[in-house]
Amino acid sequence: MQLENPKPQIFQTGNFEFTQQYIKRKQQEYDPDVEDPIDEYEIFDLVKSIKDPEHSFTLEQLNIVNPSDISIQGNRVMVYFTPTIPHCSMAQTIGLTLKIKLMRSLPKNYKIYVEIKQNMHIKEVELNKLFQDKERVLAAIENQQLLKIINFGIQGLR
Amino acid sequence: MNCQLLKDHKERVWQVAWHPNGQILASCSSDKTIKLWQLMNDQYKLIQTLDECHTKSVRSVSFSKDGQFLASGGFDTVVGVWMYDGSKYKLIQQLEGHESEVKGVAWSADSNYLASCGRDKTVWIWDHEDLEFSCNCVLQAHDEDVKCIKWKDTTLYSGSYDNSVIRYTYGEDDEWDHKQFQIEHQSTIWSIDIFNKLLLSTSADCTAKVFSIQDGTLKPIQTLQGFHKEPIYSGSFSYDGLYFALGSADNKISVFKKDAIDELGYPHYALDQIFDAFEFDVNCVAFNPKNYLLAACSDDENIKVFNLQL
Repeated sequence: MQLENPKPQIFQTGNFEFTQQYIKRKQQEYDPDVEDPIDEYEIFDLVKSIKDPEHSFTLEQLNIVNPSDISIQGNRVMVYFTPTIPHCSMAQTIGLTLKIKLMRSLPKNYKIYVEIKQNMHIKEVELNKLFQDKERVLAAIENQQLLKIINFGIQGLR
Repeated sequence: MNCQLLKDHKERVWQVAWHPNGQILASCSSDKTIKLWQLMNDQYKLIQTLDECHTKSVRSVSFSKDGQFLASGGFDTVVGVWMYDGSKYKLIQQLEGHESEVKGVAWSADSNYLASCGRDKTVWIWDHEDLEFSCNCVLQAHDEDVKCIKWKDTTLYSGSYDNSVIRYTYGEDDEWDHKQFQIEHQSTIWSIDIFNKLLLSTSADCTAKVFSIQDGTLKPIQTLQGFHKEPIYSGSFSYDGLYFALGSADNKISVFKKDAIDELGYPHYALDQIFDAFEFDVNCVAFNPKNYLLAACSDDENIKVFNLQL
């Protein structure tokens, strides 16, 4: 199969680890008096190692996800992702994999929104609607063929 | 609030539907089963688990108006037809034809027609002779998944992922004619309910709308906006049209009451109550056909029958 984007740009990972906010968060983790709510870094930790469906790189290495495009308000989690190219046909698989990984990992009362970052894909409106359609997402999990691809992505690169 | 918890499903419960006698409730779930619950001594008791039809999530369930039949639709593309034999509902036929997940099943008022709809963008109409069901017609009028269907007598309405509603009528030319309505929902239409000449639609745009069905059109009467923060998966009129309830992915149920009639004779509904009903998404609400009991079900695997004390 011919690759759509044969030479994707690979990014340095872990840059955010030097931000003040992240350093503070790390310190707090060891303080028993400070409550550790689920924050954007924790969400990022859950999704960063997902394998890209086309390349042997992680979503973090391809800068498809990064902590600054994740936000949390109460039990609402928003994850915006950036496909490597605007006509990437893998965007649907990536979105579904992100959503399903988070559905499996987060407490069940969390409302999870996965969207393509604005102006980053030619079919972003169409795909964002699909990621938000619970019936479509749950039917995908019951489709063995699709589930295999999604699980392969979730299994990730270690 | 007075409420009974019906607990036996092992996964999310997608839909609940009342038997026309108001005594039996059917529920269907991702655990691939349909369960029947009967009112006995003021308590709903599980009387039957129907597990021999579907191999994937059961998305929709519906009793025929005479109670003789029960239909079920599943993600496995199958429509199940069950018949009451005097003591139990038994599987009599599995209808195949849909290419992907079936999302809704519904019986016409005279029980002559069964309709099913699904992700393959089609609506199938099935009829029966000597208890043998067969396809009467396949209607492909929507551009996207057909999420819900509802009969008004022998006219059928469907709601879709393409944000529109379509009405199907059996014409004099022995064909099903259709007419599409763009009813200004900004996203998927998840449910339709009908009471007399009123149609209630609920949408992923977090609103619900009430329309008057007249002269072959849908005239918008009221938009219910700002009550729910997440998609509204279901809406249901009470048997007398005095109330309707909405169930949403924000885990809440809201109940609206008819409080006025305007100069043109159209009703106006006002919020009566809104409450946290479940831990997770509310997938379906259904008013009892005889009284003000409201059945509802959720992703948290539970079913509740609320006595709203209206």
